[in-house]
Amino acid sequence: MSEPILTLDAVEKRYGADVAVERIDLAIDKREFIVLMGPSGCGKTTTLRILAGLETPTAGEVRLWGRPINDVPPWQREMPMVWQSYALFPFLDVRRNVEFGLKQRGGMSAGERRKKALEWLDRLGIAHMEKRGIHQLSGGQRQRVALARALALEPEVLLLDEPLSALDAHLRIRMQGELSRLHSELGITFVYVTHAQSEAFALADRVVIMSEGRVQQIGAPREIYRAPASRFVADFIGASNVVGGTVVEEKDGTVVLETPVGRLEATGSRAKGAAGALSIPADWIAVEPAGEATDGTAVEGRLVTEDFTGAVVTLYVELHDGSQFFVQKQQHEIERLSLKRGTRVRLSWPLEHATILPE
Amino acid sequence: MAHGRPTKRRDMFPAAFILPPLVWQASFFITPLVFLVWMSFWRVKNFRLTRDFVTANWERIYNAGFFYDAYVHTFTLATVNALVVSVLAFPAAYFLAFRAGPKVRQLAIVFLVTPFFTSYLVRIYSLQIILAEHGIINSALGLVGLGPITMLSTSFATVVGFLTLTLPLVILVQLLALSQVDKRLMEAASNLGVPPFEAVFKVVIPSAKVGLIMAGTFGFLLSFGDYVSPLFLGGSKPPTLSILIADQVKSGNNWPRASVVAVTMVVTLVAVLLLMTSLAYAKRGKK
Repeated sequence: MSEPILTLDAVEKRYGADVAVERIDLAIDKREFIVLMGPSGCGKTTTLRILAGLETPTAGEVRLWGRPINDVPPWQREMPMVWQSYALFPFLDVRRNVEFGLKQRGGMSAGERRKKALEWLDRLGIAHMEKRGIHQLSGGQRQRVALARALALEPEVLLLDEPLSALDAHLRIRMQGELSRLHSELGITFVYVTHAQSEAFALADRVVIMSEGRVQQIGAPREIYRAPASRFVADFIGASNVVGGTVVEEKDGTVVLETPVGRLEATGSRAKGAAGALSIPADWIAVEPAGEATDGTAVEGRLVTEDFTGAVVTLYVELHDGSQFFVQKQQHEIERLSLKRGTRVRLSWPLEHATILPE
Repeated sequence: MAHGRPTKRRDMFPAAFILPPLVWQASFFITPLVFLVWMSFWRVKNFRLTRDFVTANWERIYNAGFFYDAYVHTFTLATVNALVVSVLAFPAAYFLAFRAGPKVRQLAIVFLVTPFFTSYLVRIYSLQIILAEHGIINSALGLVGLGPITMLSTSFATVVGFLTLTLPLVILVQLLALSQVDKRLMEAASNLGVPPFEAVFKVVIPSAKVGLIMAGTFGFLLSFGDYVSPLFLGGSKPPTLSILIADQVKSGNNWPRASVVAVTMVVTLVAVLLLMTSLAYAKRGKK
């Protein structure tokens, strides 16, 4: 593997007794689209600000192409950021905002700067607004100006701090597509912070899931979705049913857990007597009318509610101990079952998809 | 235009708020002002004011060389003060807005208001002691074999007086202006390659332009009409417009001529205020 463009080596940030980032180890490759995701207060934004030089880590080292940059001030880093609040200069018009970084760097005539700014504005589809004031723009237009302002510097690394969270849902999807296109066209590294899973999974080459100042899991979206590395990740992603229990049997790659909903089997290994949690992806669960006996890969319960989100239906099933399972199905798969609220159903799943979560 | 209005309904709610200040302004500002203008057309007969309508006072004052000298002198001193006070106040306001903690900032605001509790006249007298021929500064200079430098009864002393009058207020107004600056813009500038000192000129001052111009305008307005500093520190050499007013009244009870000078001053102040306001709110020209 080639040398990473950015490395975070045991980076830590404390404010007195408060820990914002406890310890982050991360290597980011050139051209990678990496997304830092986690609940608020998990340290994702602090990590991004450390990369930009706006925060100084209290321990650890940040390296750019292997060279430590802890002591390089933000104004010398050339890692432009796209801000959640856009942070455009209201006293400059659109074009001058885009030219701002170029002018500061120097070495370009006014004509060249103007040409370059217009190129970027054109690329983002807002060249005709070059003379507008910032207050005359909509949120989506501001976001484009902010992108143009950062990209005009033609940086190696672009930092994005929740860039889409202030936009409405429709616009967010469009900008998501635009960001994806820009990333593949420009071939630069994107480091992107968000709390929105849909954004992270749609955009990222790799997702870094953070919680309480630590990295919980790093991996491709599919990997994280299919194999959450911890109970936290499984809960945070919310794509799987997680059941806690105690290991009562272990034999060649399979364990049996005693759980409140019955004895369940899972792939993985864990010592007998240890506590463990089992994860079952919601879309791998089959729904049938109750009747057949349950075994280590099936449970029985009563349908409580269902949720429609377009073509996907989420069924909530209450088990005998009062806990709930949720199942995600395409609508046409559900229709033929003609389920009613209160119907008893049997839920089953292939053994290989029921995995024991690492503790 | 009254016709073509879509609705006749009148909301009395805003009026209830606007009325009291309107009444106040009408009775204590507009009325005296009208009276002042009116009086500038009166006459003085045997040291007694007489109602009349003559333009002689205006002709007399506007044909007098001393009036133009005083006008230029007053305008220059007030302009110099506005510029100097703005420059002197800025670092303090900047420090309080961006570097100081909330405790220090609150304390500083208290200290900036405190001078207004003490009489301006008393402060000017104390400045006389400091600036005088045998005052504190010259005594200190004498110890190292320098001086004495004549400071009292110069325009320098007048501006020092103006500064003690206007500096606290200008710092406060600048501080308010700088507090409104979006700190995220400063971070954005830093992120785009601007070192902190340059950011003052590229982000802070453009962002706070309106407040900073208004602060400087206060520096001008307050010193333009001041009487105390030019008299006790400047030694009325040469006289300012406010001293001219006092002289007209004292020598010969000439209220009408004093009114001419006063009306000229009011018009000047309003003109400066309008000019500075339009400058402050000027939008970037769209070509």
